[in-house]
Amino acid sequence: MTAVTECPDLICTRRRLLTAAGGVAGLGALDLAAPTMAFAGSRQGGDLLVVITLEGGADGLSLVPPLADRNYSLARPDVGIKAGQAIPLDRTFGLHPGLKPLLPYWNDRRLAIVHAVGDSDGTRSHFEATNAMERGVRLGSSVGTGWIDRYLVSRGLRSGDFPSLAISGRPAGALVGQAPDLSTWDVRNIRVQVAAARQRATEQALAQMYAGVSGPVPDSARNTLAALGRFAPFRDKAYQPRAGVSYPADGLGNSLAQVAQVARSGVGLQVACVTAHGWDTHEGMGGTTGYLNDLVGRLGKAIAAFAADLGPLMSSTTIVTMSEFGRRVQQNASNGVDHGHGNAMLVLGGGIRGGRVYGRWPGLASAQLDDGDLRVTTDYRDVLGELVQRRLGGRSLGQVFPDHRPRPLGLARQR
Amino acid sequence: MPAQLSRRAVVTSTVAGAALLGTAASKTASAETRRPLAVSGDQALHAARRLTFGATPALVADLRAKGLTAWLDEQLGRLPEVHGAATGPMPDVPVPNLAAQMMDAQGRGIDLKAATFARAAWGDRQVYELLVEFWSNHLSIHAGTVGALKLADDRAVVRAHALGTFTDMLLASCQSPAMLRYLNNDVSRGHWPNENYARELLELHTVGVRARYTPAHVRDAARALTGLTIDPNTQEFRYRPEWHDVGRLRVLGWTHANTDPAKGLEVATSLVRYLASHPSTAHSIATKLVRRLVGDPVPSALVASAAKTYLANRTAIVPTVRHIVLSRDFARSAGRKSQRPFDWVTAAVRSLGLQQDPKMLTNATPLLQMLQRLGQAPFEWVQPDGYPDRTGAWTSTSSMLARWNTAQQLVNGGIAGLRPLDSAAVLGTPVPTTAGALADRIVQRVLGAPTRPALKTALLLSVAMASSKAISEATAKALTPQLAALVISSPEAMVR
Repeated sequence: MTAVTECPDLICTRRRLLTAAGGVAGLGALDLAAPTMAFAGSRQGGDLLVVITLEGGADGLSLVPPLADRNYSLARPDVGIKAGQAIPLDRTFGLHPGLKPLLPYWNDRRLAIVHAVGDSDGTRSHFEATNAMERGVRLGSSVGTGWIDRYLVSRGLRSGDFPSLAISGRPAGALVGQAPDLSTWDVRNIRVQVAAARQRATEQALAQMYAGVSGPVPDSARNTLAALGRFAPFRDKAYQPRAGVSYPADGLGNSLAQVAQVARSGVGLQVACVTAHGWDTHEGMGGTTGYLNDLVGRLGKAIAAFAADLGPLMSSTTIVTMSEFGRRVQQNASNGVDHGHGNAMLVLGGGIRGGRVYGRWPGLASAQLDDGDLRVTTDYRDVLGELVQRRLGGRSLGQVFPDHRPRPLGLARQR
Repeated sequence: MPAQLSRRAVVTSTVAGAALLGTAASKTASAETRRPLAVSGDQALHAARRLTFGATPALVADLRAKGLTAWLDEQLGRLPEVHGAATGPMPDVPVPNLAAQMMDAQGRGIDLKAATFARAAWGDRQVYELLVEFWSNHLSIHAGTVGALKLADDRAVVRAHALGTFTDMLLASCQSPAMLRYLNNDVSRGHWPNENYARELLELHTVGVRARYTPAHVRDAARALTGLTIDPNTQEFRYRPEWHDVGRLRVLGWTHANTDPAKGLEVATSLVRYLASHPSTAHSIATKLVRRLVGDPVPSALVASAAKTYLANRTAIVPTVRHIVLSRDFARSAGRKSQRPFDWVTAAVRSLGLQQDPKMLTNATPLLQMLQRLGQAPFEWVQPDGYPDRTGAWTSTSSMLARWNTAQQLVNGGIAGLRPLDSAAVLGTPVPTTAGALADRIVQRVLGAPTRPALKTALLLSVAMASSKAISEATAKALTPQLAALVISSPEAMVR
């Protein structure tokens, strides 16, 4: 019986999962971090967008602690980040020490932070919140497609495009819809594993048997067959990051390295989504040591490695972190924080007006809270909408976010 | 490409297939030339595929002879022996001596997962196993988080009550160390409880968000559950009154004065009983059962009547399942439900007649790796909402490739623990003497009915033979594995 002392209800630590998997090679189903990519033959006039989802509800109050708000330290005597531990950003906020690798990007104004941001609707359910955020719509909306899919469609799909690729076992919610979406655990291993002599005949037979059939499964089969050719150049190609760059040896690091491999190959990658799991810190989250610190540290290292690896490509790349909700201000009796509301987003890129915390800080006094949680003063779609419009060359914001009119914060320069 | 190509044209032309391969078209491209998959209307075959982990010729024959109602009642009629101890044998499954290694030293529960697969693939109590899988997934627990505790949960919560009432199952679940550990209730105490279990009890296990409970209700539910924990010495359930938070509670229409910490377990029990028989719970469970047994989109009238049946029978599972299976919606739903990966691979194993190798239990790792590559190993879904059951949740490239590649491994003995395909058994006698007859025979055996000409065309294309091409018995046997792999890779094999 393993003693579990931290966050057992969601993906938990990768360390633990890897341990649990024992010698399991391939680790496909372990769902460590799942990049999902969208790309076209050549990227037309827009940034590469990399969306990093912090699954489980990341604690924005730890990532970017409001050091100057004394209610913060009162509410979190055991799990908070203390003033002396955080890296001061401005008069109100500090940066979690684990995000120190990102400090150079803050200092040269490529990293912006949005705080008290989230879904204005404010469910505290993982599943409802995730579902609404992936689709980019109000809770209960009947819109069935993902916001990234609608963005890609708004850009216009061309026949022969390969709009999306997923390095995951399941389709990414934000990519569900019209644009073909492709997912895989490993961009270097997209193949039908059959004796070489039968390879072509097998693939042709598969193509033939799915050709006349409509429906989601045959659509997926057709995308898969198309991917076999598209990804042949990556097959078994060990990836060599730029000199001096090393990714953390975990799911997020592996995912971002794959994104970098595809982005740097020049095939026209448009959108990639990766997921980092384990943020549902109900229990034993620790402060500047312990579970969450470890997780944040790996996040900081992975993003910094990715940005360094892209090098000059970063001038036309935007990275944004998202999470389904923030966490309760008041710590609970098991040294964790339960589901909350307002959160922080990190936005990093060549076209970002960084070095600044955006959004209106609502305060943490009990009268200022929303059911005990940080109030949302900026809708996450305000951030995404501005990125779509100013960095990605999105044409119809109304199509991308049909039930929210994004108000730009001014954090992105017009491309 | 038109749906109906002449076979000869395809067989003699590799250009057609090659053209298909190179095209990365959008999902809407040439949609007008495609049609939904037509499946056999044979009701016995339909029920056999939908209500089990895979139809076999014997099972279809049995179902046809008895009729759906009698067969179903037989399947639902008696609870299989629930193993009294963790180390007990499993009489209905040819898995020898599961006892010793149910959990390995790291508490990974490898053999519980292998046993779950074995019962699905080779057990006789197919409908029971289907429901066990359903309820395991409804009260989903990530085994990697709770280790050996999942073993007792499997037995005392899910298997013990899968044919009983949901109320009893949920009462067992709220005292299951695995669930308490998984959702942190074991450390929840006092006036600032850990809300994790309470929230998922409301949202996922019972009433769902449509019941419109408030944050205060979640907190009160968490307070009601304080003190339900695990004894650190025995690892068994224990109620600790000193951790229970007294004071008035309200959750939806349930209230409790909650004045005596010694009676906190009664408070929790009262709440769980209330939730299990709440109309919103009836709706949630009916919806999930209908999705599993009939498919998406769920017919709302059937959900309503199934929910009514659930409530009228005081949360009893069997009458609810019976109501759904014997409905007209069920009868009309043949082929309208996609296979999830676990369903797909068990159906492949069953339809191909693949047998278990004794090595499976001593080394279940290859089997589990196969299930992991497919994305649905038992008890490995980390979040508490369980593996999704909607088609869209599984239609990904990685899922498709994993199935196609697993199909190749299954027929070639590439999964240690499963014997290679017995070609002679698949073909039966007399052995087909033409390529076309060979394709027909394999399709019939694996899918239970003849199917589209396009599938046969594809099979012949893969071996570059015309339908009339004469083949020897040796050739027929040699070609059987690769053709069988293609049949279980087909669109027909992706639906149930």
